[in-house]
Amino acid sequence: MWTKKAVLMISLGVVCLLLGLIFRNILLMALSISIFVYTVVGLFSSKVKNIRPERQLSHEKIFEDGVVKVELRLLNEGGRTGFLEVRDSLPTQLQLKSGSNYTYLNLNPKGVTKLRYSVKAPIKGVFHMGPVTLRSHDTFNLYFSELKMKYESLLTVFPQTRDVKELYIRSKQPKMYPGEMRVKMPGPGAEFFSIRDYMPGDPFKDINWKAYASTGKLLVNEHERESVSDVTIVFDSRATSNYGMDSDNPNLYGARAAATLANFFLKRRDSVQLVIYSDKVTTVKKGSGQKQLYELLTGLAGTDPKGDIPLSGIVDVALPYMPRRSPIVVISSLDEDESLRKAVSTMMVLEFDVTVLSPNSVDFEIMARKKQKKKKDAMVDPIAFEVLRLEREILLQELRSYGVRIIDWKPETPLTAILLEARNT
Amino acid sequence: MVDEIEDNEEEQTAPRRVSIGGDVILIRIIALVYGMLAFISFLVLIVDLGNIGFEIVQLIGIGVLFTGVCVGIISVWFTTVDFENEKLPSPSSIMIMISVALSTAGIIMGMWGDGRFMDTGEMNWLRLIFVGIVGIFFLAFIEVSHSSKHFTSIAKYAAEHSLAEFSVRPVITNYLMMSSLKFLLITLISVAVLLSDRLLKYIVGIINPQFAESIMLNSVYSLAIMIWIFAYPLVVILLLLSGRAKAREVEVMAAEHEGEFAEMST
Repeated sequence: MWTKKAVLMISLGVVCLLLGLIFRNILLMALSISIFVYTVVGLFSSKVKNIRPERQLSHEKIFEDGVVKVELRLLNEGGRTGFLEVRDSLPTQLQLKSGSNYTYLNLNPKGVTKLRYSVKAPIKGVFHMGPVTLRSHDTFNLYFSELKMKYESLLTVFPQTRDVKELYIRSKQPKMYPGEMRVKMPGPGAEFFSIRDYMPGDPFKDINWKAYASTGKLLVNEHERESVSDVTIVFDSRATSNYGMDSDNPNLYGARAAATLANFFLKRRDSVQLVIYSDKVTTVKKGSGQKQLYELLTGLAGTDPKGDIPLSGIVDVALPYMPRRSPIVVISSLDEDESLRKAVSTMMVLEFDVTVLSPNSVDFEIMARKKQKKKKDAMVDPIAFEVLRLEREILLQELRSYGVRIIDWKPETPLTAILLEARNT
Repeated sequence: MVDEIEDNEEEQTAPRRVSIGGDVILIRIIALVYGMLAFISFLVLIVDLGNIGFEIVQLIGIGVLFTGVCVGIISVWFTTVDFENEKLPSPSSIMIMISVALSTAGIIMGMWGDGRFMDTGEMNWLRLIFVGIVGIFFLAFIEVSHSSKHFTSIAKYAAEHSLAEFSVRPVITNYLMMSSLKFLLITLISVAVLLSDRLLKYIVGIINPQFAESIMLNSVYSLAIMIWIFAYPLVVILLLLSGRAKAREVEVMAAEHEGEFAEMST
């Protein structure tokens, strides 16, 4: 490739040639000959040397807003490199925090150098760091040759999780193992549920002596049953979940909500399964514990907003694998899906406890337009957005009429606050 | 691995030292020498060919050329940038361009209207070689002036961003060695092109003596023909060779590293 200097020099050569011809000036002609020869001779020796890169990351998996330290070791396996530029390519979503991913080199044979920098990952995703690009120039800096070495490292950025104290999402169908989720029925647990008549075999510690004193009958306290449950999180990662900006959109917010919910349920010893639908359906089978959390987060990190599979398709495919009467949390902006009503009614008929957490895509789009407006002169048409808002409100009301718990999530509301709303709904 | 990286934290934040003044000063001196040589050889040329009988335009031309060289000297020698308590030489691009423009104008005016500078037929081969050498000096002046700026920017960037030890001295040494060799090559090829004008005239003289005596073959136009004859096929061949070499190199590198990368990733 030619550098700016080469272009300038060739231009100068052409100018000298033309002026030489116009003014019939031998010296200018001689100068133009020298410049042309100079540019041609410069073509030699622009050769990329034999460098071997090795990249080390301080962490290969981090949460959003996390920082990774990168060390790129460059080993010269050939002769002296001469002047060499090195660039470690980074995805645009990663922000360079300190150091530089670009440097100049002049290595001796077998010489080693290390390029150190740190990057911040503000949004979730699976990012490819690399390739490493080497660029060497000729002596006069007229040309450069570039070599891209396909040496990539993967950096997985998990969506952020928030600490949630309690959620009112529970199963109607408890499982036999004790857990932390309270089920509205008597059984083993810590919380008071009701009082009933004493039956032979009831433990003495459960007798309510105060009630006995006032009524003269032996009554026992019953506790609310605490059990584990199977929870299904259905995450919408269709192309429509990408409304708004790269840093604020329903897909990112939804992934954070899914991660937070998964973390909460798993801490409660529930089994969690995740269904992601975009251009294909990805399922993380139900499981519990830290390993399951890791798998769920990896699944969420790898989702890109694309495709347009309808929710009813997921319901038809995944329902047989969902435990009956268990909670299902659907995280979706509910845009451009004609099958929503059918899907929701099917789930309700089968007595699932359905909660829809819906990031408000209209508000995300308005927020993006407002931010753009600060930069450019982009207009926000209030009537158009008002119509969209109304349409969305009608849809939400319609879904509520099926008995579904709907949480309308506006971008300015923090996740923890919106999950508290779920408790109060 | 994390600890290993963290241990080097101090090394990363350590202030960098530039100290390239001593290395670049040599480049600056060479640039000035080339500039002065270009000016003096130009004077020698017009005095030799013009037989001192200058016209006023030519005298102005010499003055303009002198001004151009002076601007170049000021640009190379006196314009600096402050960087980490050090003054680094950094010729201004605008000043270099002004210097080149003034020098070109000076050359045009200095040789204005004199037939002996227009017709190659008027020059013997020794003078033609000398014309070529004057051109090379001008070119070397432009090249080396620009290089002092280039090396300053490299050293600055390396000091600001590069965490690896980087010394600009070997780069400059390599540049001086290679550029000297290449300028020798450029001089030889340029002079060969200029002299091949004579060869062209000789060959044409055998075929058509009348055409050999025409203005076309006895003026700067014959040099334009020589540029066309030499440069065009040379550039095409070199571009083709360069493209092939590059493609082959990428393939080799990819094949060499494929196995290693696969091992590392596992």
